[in-house]
Amino acid sequence: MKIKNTVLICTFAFATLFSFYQIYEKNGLPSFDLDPTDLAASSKSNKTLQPNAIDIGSKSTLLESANNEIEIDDESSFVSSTTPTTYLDRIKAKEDRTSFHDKLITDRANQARYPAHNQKIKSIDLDPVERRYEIEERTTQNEDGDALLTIWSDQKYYLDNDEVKVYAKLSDARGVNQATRFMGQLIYNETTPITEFELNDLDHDGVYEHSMILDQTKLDNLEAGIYKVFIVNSLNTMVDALSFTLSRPEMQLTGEYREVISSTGNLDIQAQLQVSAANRFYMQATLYSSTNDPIGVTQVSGELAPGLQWVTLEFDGMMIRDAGEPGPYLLKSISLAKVAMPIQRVPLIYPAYFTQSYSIDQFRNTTYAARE
Amino acid sequence: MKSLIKHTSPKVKGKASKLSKCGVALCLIMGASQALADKCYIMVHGHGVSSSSESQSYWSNNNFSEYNGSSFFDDLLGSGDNYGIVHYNSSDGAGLPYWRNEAAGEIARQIISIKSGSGDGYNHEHASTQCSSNDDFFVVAHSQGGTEMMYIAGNAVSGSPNYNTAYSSSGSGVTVDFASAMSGVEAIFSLGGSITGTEGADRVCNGSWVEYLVGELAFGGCNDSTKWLQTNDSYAVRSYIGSNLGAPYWVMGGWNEFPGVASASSLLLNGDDDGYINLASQMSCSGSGTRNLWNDLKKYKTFFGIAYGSPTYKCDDDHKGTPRTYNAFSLDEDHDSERNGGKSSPSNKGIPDGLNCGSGNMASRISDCT
Repeated sequence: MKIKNTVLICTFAFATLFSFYQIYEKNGLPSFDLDPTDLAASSKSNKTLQPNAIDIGSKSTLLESANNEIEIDDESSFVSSTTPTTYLDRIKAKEDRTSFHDKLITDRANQARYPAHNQKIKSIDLDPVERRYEIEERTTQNEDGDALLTIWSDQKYYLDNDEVKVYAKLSDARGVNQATRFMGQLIYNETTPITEFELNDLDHDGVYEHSMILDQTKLDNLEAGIYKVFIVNSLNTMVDALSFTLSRPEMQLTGEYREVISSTGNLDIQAQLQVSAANRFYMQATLYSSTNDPIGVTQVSGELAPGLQWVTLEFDGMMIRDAGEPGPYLLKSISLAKVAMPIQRVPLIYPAYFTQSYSIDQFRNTTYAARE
Repeated sequence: MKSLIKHTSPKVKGKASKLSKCGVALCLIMGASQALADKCYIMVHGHGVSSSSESQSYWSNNNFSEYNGSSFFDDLLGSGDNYGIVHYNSSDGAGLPYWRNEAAGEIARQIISIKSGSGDGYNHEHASTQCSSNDDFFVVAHSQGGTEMMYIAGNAVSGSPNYNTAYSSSGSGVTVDFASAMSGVEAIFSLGGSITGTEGADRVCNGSWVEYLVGELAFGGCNDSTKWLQTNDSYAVRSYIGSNLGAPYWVMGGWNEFPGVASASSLLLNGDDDGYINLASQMSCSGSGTRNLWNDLKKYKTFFGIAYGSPTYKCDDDHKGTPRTYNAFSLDEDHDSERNGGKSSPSNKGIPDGLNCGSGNMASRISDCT
């Protein structure tokens, strides 16, 4: 009897819901947001995304191209008949979204646009590769707050026989540089003293300097790794230390590059490396337009065997189209590193390599999520 | 792997049990499973923890009697919310840098386990709060936990320098599936994170003038763990990750000194800080981790009306030292209250690109905003 009742209730419930379902199908509502990342899943499961879907995202646009392919613009969200099952779907469907929800939706839309190893560069001053090499200027104030010690080196990464320039200044609370004596000590890996020196202010501008060559024949125990320069002065007891890395990457770029537009509509630039020992490598590279507008950054890592090797720097087609400028494009900078602890980067490389001329129509016009 | 004191079975979700059998069948037949996901907060502790029991008590423990009886979970957990506790050895005795297999690797493996619904191995004082595999996952990390999560997320994307790799004591790479650990994580919240290190570690390792309060209280000398928490870029985690993260990373900073005599520790740190960590580091700002953010975050110190320290810097979302990193809040919290919810209503300083959801301390704001 119990089973019979259950069957009857179920039958009634199914019938009722099926009726509603038919009405919704006919009228095309209501339905829910679908995140761009779900395009992949939809594609794989052969679901059909409705070209006439209703766009309810405030900043979204849904375009239908000539061949009926769906393009997603920025913070795309559009309606499908899929019940929201993910956190993202559910917060998109909420009317009382928090500021966190809104930022998360934007973040996920941005992430869906390009592959994870490609990132758009919004402006030159936000170039992440340049930033990685920015001089690290350190300012320390004393307990009384009336003195500031500022120290820096001219680079963060050096190779053997490079010149290291170290700077220091002591200023009062108003920023006026003070005359003092600065002493420095170079230490390897926090423990091994290498050399001591005095910094000098030859041009009397209040900035004291010292330079040294990382020459193994003149400095003992000059291993690859992290070095610190401790700096003290004669006016007070303040001390701080800057650091830099001496890299022996066992690989270098030969200056040979080649390029191709891949079958998936991306720009692949290959860089040739001469590798002297098997190591893991990491490379970041930036692509700019010929008018020096930033397009994006890519990254690649892996193992390299000794010998001549080609490494592919993949720049996403959609990212290039988004920049809106035709080729030639400039491979502006490359950061190359041997991956170890600590990481051994070489000083930033500017290849000055320009690609051939391209129309932006030659690059993929769908998001990474849609392609996948 | 960790050794845990007590083991419990993961909670069996019963939220669909009240629905009729035909309701369940309906879902199956229609092929549209209505998710009943709860929120699961995965908790990653900070520096100075050596045992699993300390990991569990970390979120209610305190260094100051002012915070007696407080627990982070009291403000974090709403109805139906779950959590999972992660344990790794962050003690000075172990001296493990953030990139070690026993640190980042262990955390990633436990995140994967918690996400699978296997439970965290602890008896929770809050009933039925073990996470299920169909929960929505958020990582909450404090202090060194923030550094660890940056390393994991920053090497969870293909092409990253240490993609799916931590390191052994000999320096050999150990494969750890960071990508899986970050897959399905909706967001990481870093509370008082030592993302660009802490000047306290600088002072310990540099043997500076008055390192006692910051140094000896927080660290046990310049061991390998402390060494890698210095603010120099050579050590900072941002130098060891790629140009993207496997999950979005929200930063929450504290800028109040410790209660009582320990407030002196703030005097030893440049600019704003929470007693241990410079605010610029907590907020993962570009530039030096010790720089003064007075104009961005709080008007900090002036000398006869003239602001001193570094010039005006920005620390909005575009000026982070790490990718996919977003401002959440900057609150009147110290490094202790951040993790034990000791302050119920710390004031909030508006920051560029910050969130405006929720109220109260870091725990309650995470709860409200998510």
